[in-house]
Amino acid sequence: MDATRIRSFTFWLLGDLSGSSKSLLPVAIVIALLGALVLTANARPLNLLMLGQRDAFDLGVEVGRVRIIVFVTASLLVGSSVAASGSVGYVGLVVPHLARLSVGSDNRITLPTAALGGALFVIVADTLARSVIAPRELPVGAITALIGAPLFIYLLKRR
Amino acid sequence: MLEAKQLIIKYDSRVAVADVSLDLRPGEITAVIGPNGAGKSTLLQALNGHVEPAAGEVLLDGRSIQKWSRRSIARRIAVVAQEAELRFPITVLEFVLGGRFAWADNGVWGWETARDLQVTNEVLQETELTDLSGRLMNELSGGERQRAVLARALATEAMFLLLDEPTANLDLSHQATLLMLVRSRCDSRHASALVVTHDINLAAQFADHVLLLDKGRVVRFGTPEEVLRPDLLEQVFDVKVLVDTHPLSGVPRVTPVHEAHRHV
Repeated sequence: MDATRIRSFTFWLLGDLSGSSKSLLPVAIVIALLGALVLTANARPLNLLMLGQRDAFDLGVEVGRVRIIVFVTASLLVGSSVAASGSVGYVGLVVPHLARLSVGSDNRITLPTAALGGALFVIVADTLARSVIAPRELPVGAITALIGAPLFIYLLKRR
Repeated sequence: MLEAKQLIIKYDSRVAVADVSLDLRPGEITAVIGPNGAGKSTLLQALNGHVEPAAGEVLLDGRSIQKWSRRSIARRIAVVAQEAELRFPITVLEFVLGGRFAWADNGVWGWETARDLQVTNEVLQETELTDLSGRLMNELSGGERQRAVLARALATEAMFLLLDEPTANLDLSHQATLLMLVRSRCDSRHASALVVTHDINLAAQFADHVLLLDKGRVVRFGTPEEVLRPDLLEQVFDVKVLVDTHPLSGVPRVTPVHEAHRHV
């Protein structure tokens, strides 16, 4: 393996948007939009499942079906976005919790908020990554970790 | 109509319910009593389509319950469990609105309609929870929380209420309040209720019929006077009992007689 490929692999591991490939972008966008749609459409059954499986079943949720839909969709979303951008850490760990804290736990609102909030978080982190030591560039994963790790510890401690 | 016909339910080879037939009649409360492991809860689960029978069947409006969709069942049958499952903070209003899920139209995001809110508000009033509707479920007392669980069941507008030891964690006055709410729903809307309980005297007071189960079999089905007899209860519960008449309501009153008390 040559040096550039090792370098790009390392950056992919750290989470770096500069190496993201344009060819994967359309696929990632389509999956992101459709996935967000499917998840939000299942937000109400998810609200009930959040309370517990037994109650959700009694209230009319097809528990098995909703579960499969959500697992498959979430896997596709994670897979496509990681393939396109590298493993940018702490976004999925921190943003949904912050969304829940700020807008409450109704998934019809929480899910879109988390999706938009996550995108916003990455854009802000990437802007920082590109500007703090310009003209050189930091991997965006370093910035999200720098912000995300303390936040995550804070959220854990709150409980 | 919700009825069980010669229902047999097995867990592996163990028979939990053996040949039970029962129908829930409009406006009536049926209490199911019996020792631990008699098959009371299993029977309730089967009536809700949660457990598949080995033989016999459960009929909802004349059709096997296994053939109904979950959503259609949830519009007709509501379950009140002993405890609410609560893993996330949720307000009383949100919790009770959960009962309207089965009525949501497909396609849209599933926002509650004006009718959903109207029904929910009526139910909150009925259960005297209106003032608490903005509070979080886990901030409520046990009695208030159980009232919210009942409110959610009433919000489904189901004609059949299945209650699984709904008063097990409640004090005396909350026990009576809860069952009075069930009674009034049965009286005003001709709903039917099945109450699984360990409290025989509560059953005697609120139920029109009592089903006495032992080892999955029906020992006796009938009015409280017909079922709560010392010979039947002693045979099933293996304890001496004294049955007299409640001085105020006139229903049978059951008191266990323990060896330790026989020093007179």
